[in-house]
Amino acid sequence: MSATSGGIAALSEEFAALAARGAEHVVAVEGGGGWPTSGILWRPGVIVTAAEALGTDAGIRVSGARFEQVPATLVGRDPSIDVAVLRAETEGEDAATPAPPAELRAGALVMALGREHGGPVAGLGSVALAGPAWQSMRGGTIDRLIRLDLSLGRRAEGGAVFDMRGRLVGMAVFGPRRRVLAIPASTIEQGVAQVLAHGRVVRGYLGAALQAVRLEAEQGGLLVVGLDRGGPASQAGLLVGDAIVTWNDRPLLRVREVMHLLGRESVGTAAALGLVRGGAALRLEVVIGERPAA
Amino acid sequence: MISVAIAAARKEVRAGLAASLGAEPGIALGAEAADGPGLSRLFAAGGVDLVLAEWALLAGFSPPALRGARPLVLAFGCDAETAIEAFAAGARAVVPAGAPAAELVAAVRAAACGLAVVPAPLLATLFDAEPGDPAPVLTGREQEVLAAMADGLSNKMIARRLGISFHTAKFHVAAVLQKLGAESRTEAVAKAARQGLVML
Repeated sequence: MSATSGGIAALSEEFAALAARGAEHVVAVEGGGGWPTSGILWRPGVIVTAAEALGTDAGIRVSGARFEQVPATLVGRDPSIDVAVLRAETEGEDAATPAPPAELRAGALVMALGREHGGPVAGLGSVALAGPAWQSMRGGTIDRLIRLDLSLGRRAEGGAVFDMRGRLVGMAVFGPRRRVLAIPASTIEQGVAQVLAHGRVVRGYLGAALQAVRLEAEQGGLLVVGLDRGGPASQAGLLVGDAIVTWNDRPLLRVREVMHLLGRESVGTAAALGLVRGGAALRLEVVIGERPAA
Repeated sequence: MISVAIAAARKEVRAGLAASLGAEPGIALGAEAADGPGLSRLFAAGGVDLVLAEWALLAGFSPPALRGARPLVLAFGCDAETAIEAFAAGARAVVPAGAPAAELVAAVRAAACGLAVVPAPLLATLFDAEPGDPAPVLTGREQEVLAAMADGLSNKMIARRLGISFHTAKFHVAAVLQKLGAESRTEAVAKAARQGLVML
C-alpha cells in the first residue's frame, strides 16, 4: 500500500466518525400509514420529521441509537415548511449544534443521515446552491434555499444534514422535481416553537378561492371564483367575480403571493384590497381571520 | 357454468335479478343474502363464482374481504362516487341501478371472463382529464379530500373526517394528485389553490 492510500483511508474514517456522531441525533420514524422515514431529535423528547412523508397521525414509533420502537405522538404539522413535530419519551440528548446559515456556501461538503432498522444511513454530497430566503408552494418562508447535490434515499427523508464540522445544516427533504433540499435549522426551530406553543400552525384566512387572470392589457389580478359565506372576504363585501388587483397598494399577480401574505402574523390585521368589479375600481378593507382548525 | 349469488335487501329486488339471470344458459343461481351477515356467510362459504351485490350491503365490507380471487363481486346500485369506492374496495364490475337484464347478463359474463365492467358514463371520472385541459374536473368527494389535504390532514384523518375507509381515502388522494398533475400533496394543494379549487 502506498502512502497516498493511507491518506484516503484516514479521510474515509473521518467521514465514518462524522456519521457515527451525527447518527446520535437521528431516528427512524415508522407508522401505520406511509413508508418509514427518518427524523431529527430536536430537543429532549421532541422529534422533527418531514410532514409530507408522514403518512399517519397515530401509531407512530421512533427508534434511535439508544432506543427501539418508542411510541411517539404527533403534536402538529406545518405544511408550509414541510415540518411535523412529534413527542416521544426519548432519553435526554443534547440537540445538535446548528450550522450558522451565513457560512453555508455552494461546494461545501455535507452528509445526510437517516436511520433504518439496520442502523444509520449516510449519504455524502455537497451544497449545490446556497440561495436566499424563498417562499414555499404553501406560502411558508424558508430562511435559505439550500439545494443539495446528494442522493437521498426515500427512507432518509426527514433526517439530518450535517456539515463537515458536525453542525446541523437542516432537515433533508424532497422538493419539486425530486430535488434534494435542506430545510434550514433556523426555519425548523421557528416552526417547532409555534407548534409546541399552539399545538398547530396558525395561518391567516381570507375565505376566498382565487385564480390569476389578465384584465386589460397590462393589468393582472386575482379573480374571486369562490367565497366562504361568513368568512372574512365575504364579510368585507367581496363578491364572486371581483378581481383583486392590489393588496395594501401592492399589485397582486399570483395566488402564491396571497398564500404568503396569509402567514401567522397576518391574523387580525386589516388589508386594503383594490378591486375591479364590473369594470369599475373599488376599494374594500378585509380583516384577516384565523384559518379554522382542521 | 357461472354460479351467481345474489345479495339485496328487498325480496322483490332479489326476485327480479334472479328472473333476469336464471333463464340464461350457462348461468346458475346459488344462495341469496338479504343483509350484511348473510353476505358475510356467502363470502365465507365460497362455492360461487360471482356475487351480485347491492352497494348498500357491500359498503361496510373491508377491502381484504372483497379482494379474494373468488367470488368476484359485481356491485349494483352505485352512482359515480360510490362506483369509485366499489372499485377501490375490490369490486370487479359495477352496474347502475335499474340496469336492464341484458346489461346485467353481459356484465356477469364479462366479469366471469376476467374483464372489468364499467358503465360508460363513469369512464371520465375514472381516467385523467384530457392533457392540456386547464381545469381538471374533481368529483364532489375529491373536492372534499382536496380541502382536507389543504388543511394538512393525513390519509388516516381524511378517512375519519369523511367517514370512508383508509383505502378509499388513499385512492381519492391518488386520484386528486393524478388529475392535478402533481407529484406530492404540497404540489397538489398549491396547484389547486392556483386554480381556485381551495379556499385561502
